[in-house]
Amino acid sequence: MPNTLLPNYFELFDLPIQYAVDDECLKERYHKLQSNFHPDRFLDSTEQEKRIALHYTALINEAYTVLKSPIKRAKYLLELQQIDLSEENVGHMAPEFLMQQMDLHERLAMLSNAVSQSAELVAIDADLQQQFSQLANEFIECYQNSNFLGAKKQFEKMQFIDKLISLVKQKNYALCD
Amino acid sequence: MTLLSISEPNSIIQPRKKNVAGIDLGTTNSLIAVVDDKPLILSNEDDNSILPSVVYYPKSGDPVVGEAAKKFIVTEPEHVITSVKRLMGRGIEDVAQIASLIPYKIDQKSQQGMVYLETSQGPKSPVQVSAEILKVLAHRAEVFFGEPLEKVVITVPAYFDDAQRQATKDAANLAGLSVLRLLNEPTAAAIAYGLDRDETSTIVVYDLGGGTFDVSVLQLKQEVFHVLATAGDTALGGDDFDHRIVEWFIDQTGFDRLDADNLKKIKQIASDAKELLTQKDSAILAYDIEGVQLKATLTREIFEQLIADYLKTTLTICHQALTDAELDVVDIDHIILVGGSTRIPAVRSSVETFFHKPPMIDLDPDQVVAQGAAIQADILSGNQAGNEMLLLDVLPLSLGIEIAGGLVEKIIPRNSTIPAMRSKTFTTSKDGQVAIALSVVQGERELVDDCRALAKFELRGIPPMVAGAARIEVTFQVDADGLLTVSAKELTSGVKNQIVMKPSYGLTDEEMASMIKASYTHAKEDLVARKLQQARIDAQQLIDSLEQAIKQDGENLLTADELGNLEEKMIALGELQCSSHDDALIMNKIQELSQESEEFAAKRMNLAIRKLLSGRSIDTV
Repeated sequence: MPNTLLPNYFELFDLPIQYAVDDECLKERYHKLQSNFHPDRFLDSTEQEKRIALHYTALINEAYTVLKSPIKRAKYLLELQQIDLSEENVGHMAPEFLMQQMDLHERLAMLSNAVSQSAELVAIDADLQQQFSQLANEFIECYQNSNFLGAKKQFEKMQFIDKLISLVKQKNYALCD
Repeated sequence: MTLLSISEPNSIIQPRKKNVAGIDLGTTNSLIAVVDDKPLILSNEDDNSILPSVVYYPKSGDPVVGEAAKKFIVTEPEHVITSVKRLMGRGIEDVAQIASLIPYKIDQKSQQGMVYLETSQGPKSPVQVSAEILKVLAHRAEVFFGEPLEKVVITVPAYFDDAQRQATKDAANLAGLSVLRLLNEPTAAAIAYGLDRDETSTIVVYDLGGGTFDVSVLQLKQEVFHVLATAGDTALGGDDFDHRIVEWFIDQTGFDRLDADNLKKIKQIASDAKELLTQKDSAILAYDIEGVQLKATLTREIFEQLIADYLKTTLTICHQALTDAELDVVDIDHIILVGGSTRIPAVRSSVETFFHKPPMIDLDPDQVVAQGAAIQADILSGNQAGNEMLLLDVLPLSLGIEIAGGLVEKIIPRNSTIPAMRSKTFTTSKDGQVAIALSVVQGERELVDDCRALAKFELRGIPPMVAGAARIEVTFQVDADGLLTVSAKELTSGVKNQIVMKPSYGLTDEEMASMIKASYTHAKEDLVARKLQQARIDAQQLIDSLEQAIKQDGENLLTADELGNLEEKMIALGELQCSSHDDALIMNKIQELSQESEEFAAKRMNLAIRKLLSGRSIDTV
């Protein structure tokens, strides 16, 4: 199928191209799309219709995965503006930011798997979440003003924080075991 | 079903209820169910609903399946195959790990790739053995309907990988069954429970069967069952508990000169003791050998100690599923128990402790999967008009490709909702290179050797270019059955690559074809006639659906030229379909017309999506 015909993820969900997304609305539309276009609804159709239904359902699934994840959504917004995200350089990042991240990394690494550490973990998590939403706000501001390179810089920081957040999750998992 | 009008031009006619069934093809026992007002498990003439998944191959004559086959475990254990599900889609090196659990012999024929079992009727693949079980089940349905069984939903453990799923589907095809859907067992159980769809609820299904453990986390909202995560172990189940009892028994009696046949019989005694312990506090195991009686008393307490580490493993897996679903124990509204092994009191109590909530046990854990499969079959086949239930399941294990250094690059991560599709672009490393080899793997580890090799692909027909110039887009597509297909295209030239697939643990298409052919009782002409008839039906269906589509959106979405071109091709196909006896030619022309109308179909899809969602906002305002 010609890719040019496919709608972008926001169009697919009939949503404005922006960072802010209402989770409930997204989920509702996702269910609605799936309920109508899932291959299960095309079991008696022609091979062609089956193929297209499969293709679109996969696209709807992929779009939903991207739109519901703040970090993936930010990345996709930049990709829509043809911003090149391939190079992974931290060279231009502010030293204070990098220092801060290394510090958090260290705090995480120091944690043993003892349950007594869970309070510390909760504190780190809260700290990270707060940093992430702050960065997201800056991202939104840059993006709205068509300052896509500025948005990219915020995104790169968001990526850092996001990785730390998943580290915290893993720690949490190990802790409960 | 908004789009039904596109696909079913004859929908004015009230459709006949279709003869469909749900099959639980289990490690230990199998069942078949249909929906007759409500789900109904079908029994044989002797009123047995459970069919033991046991196949006995006599020296001549038809294989014996079920309870009757079980009797031969005592007299001819070497000719009886049990727990064959554990070998589905498995290789010889996997079998080595569970060899002590399967006291039958592996045939010499299995070297690399698929396992063959030695039987008195020659080597048999697990697919063939499973097909025998399926045939017996299908027969029950045909007796019930008094007509041929049209389609089935077959359940598989959620954690089955691609090779295991494919093997299951192959077995169905070999048994002459048309598969509507492979359905994950925990999901089937959730359907069977038919929880209140008016409120949103989060459900954990804990499925501990004879040979496999699965856990799925689902969210039910209105009509949609959305699986959020699944985890499991395809080699953990009641079989392992039996094995622990056997080891304990040998240890207790001090008698260790047991051959495979004796072990098989003792394993049966162990299994009986385990069942007794669900009701009683102790069970006596006794076995006569070489003129002495081996005897030991197994208490429930000892038994619970024997399996404690297995139970702990299942809870760790539950935790993993919850983490993947980004949920906590407190978020769970219901816990459903599935599988015979959940009758064990220790299993129930450990689940209750973990989730701080008693599990639901209203439905028979042995029957619930088959019941759910029957309901799904009924809905998918259109028998339940107005039932809009939709299942969104996930890929249990990540799919990836081998890259340099024996590393895996993940293409589709585990717990992605299916259907899923992802592409990845590769290039050539040498000037003039016309082919590249790719190895597809499934699993979570970073090294290829730690993942399961699914298939090797060779992409041929790449136009010769300088190294690095070719751009080969490889697309992974996972359908609603969780089955993978891979396609490839060279982007600079648009050449579609031929893919030569070698499944690592499955049957090749040729092997399948020859097995199906051999199993056909019909004459060859019959087969040819059937293929022609199918091609004609397909052609007419495509023409009808296009006519309908043009009527609705032709004016909107097609230029006069495009419309003229399509109509010309439709007429040509219509004529060919009536006059030609060449099924391959007809199929070829169907393909052409499909291709030709692809853009139109995609545009209609976009239009339908826009209509659906804009309709929604108007509704809610």
